[in-house]
Amino acid sequence: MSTSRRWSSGMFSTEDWWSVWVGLALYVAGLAALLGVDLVGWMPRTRPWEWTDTVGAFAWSKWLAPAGATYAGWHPVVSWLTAYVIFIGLFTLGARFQGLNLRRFVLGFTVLFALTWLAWIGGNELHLTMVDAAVDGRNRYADAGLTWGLQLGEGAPYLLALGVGLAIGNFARGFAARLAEAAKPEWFIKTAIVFLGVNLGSQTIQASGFAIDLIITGAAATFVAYMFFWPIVYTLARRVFKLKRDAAAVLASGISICGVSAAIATAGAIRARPVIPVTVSMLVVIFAMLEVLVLPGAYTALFPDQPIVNGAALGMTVKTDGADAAAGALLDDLMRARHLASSGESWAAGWILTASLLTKIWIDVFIGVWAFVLALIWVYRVEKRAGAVSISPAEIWFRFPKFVIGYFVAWLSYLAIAAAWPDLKAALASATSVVSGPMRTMLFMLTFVAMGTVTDFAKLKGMGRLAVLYAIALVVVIAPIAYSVAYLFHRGLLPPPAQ
Amino acid sequence: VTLEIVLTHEDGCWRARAPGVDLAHAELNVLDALIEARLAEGGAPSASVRFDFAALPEWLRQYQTHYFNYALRPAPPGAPGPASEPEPPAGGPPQPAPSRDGTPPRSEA
Repeated sequence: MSTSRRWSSGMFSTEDWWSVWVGLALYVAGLAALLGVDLVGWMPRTRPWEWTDTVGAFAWSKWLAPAGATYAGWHPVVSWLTAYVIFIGLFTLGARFQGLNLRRFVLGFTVLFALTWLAWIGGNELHLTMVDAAVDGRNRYADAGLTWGLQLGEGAPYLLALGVGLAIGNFARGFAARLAEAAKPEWFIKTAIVFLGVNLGSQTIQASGFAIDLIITGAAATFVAYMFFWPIVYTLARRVFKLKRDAAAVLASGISICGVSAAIATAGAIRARPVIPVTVSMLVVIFAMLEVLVLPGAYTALFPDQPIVNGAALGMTVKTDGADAAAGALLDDLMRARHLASSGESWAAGWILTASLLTKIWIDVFIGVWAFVLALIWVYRVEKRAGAVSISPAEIWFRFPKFVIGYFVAWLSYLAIAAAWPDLKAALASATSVVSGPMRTMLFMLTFVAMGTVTDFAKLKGMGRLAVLYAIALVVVIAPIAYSVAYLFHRGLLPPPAQ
Repeated sequence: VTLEIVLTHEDGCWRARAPGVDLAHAELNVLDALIEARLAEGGAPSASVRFDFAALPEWLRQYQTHYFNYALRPAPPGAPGPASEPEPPAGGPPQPAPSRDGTPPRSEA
């Protein structure tokens, strides 16, 4: 076996690359509509429903409908089954190339898919979602005859999905173990992030100045924040908690940068024993879930007038891509519902999520560079092994998150098509609406359920001072600095009004 | 010809394997020195060392797919040895010494 990794290593054997393949395959299938062929309109979308109405006269069409006009005549259940067959086919193909146990994967994916849709349909009940506010002179809450409601907006299905997943992960551990082969929140969310490249393309066309501003300030905020995060947490770990250098460095990266991937990248860069990143990663996953549960609601309640600041702060605070995207989506929906209820005005969907995601993507992009620099420092300054050990710059590429390529390909190709054929802008938005709409939302929902099933809070037991350090660093260092930096760069920015 | 080595971490020891090579030690820097000695014996100018990512838990692989690679050359004569952490390890079992032939100590392997 050769130990020399090629630049193309892992293109068909890692989840990271498979998120690119699955995401771009569906995006390209969506683009076929520009040629008059609708290849994705079979995708079902959920519909808002009210339980007394549904009990009184049940019809599947009250819950689901095919998303594309070409498929409007399909029975909703046929549309759902088609989605199941196509998504399980694509993901199982990826699972096969990754060498996963296909029987366990198919069974697990089937259960997760069913739970996802149950949570999605259940979460669309009007008493959970509908906001009591008049929009354009019409109050749909009153129109529906509601006398009470949680008014969670589109965040209700996400919360339900998370609740279902967490219940399984913490109270049905045997069942969670059976789902483990298919519970891949990072794979699902990275595929969804490729789809979000389409959203960013559409947003760039709608409000190019604002989108570019978000991209640039997101990068700047990320850079500034990390100048503070890492040294402070590392010093805290060394001086106060007396951790060894390697454990302190890995923990500082895990808390400060991008969670598990940063912990592993840093541990690799400093050649730490694998037990260190494994332990830190377990902490990161559990705390990330706590952040998803707490931060979107807290920011919505505490800072209702700073949507973009909140999104960017979330991107710098919540670790792991799945948790950040999940928290961003939740924040987007909760803040828009809150704003609608308080002002009667609607913000366009997706901008708060974009703010959260862009900061995270910059962080992900730079992790390879950071790990490379750290590796050089470790070899040449800490271990003083300059004569014998050498590190190749290729390590940057090996640690680069490949799903980001899919995100940028989707974004830039969308812009290129719109720029080359301006007459096709409306058709392009329509062609990609299924991918960036119900398909993307379904993968977010799948992420919420999967993330819940892999989170077992009982694992915090025995983590001792590492868990205490993580909690202190998060609450005292990361969250306040992230919010301050986000405020510095994004204060006063508001999403454009919904059209 | 570069010696191609696959590195793992098993039962508290780093372990380096290549055709005709099976070395282990609790400290990676010491293992590097053993590899360098083997390079000097065998006449290979360098070693390409790749950590086998499959040695990490499966659930971690969705977050990152690479641990580390590096290249080793025999240190020039008179070069300082690897620096070590000045403080003692915070608990855990005592680290095993390498066996004479570089195979893992029985108690650890």
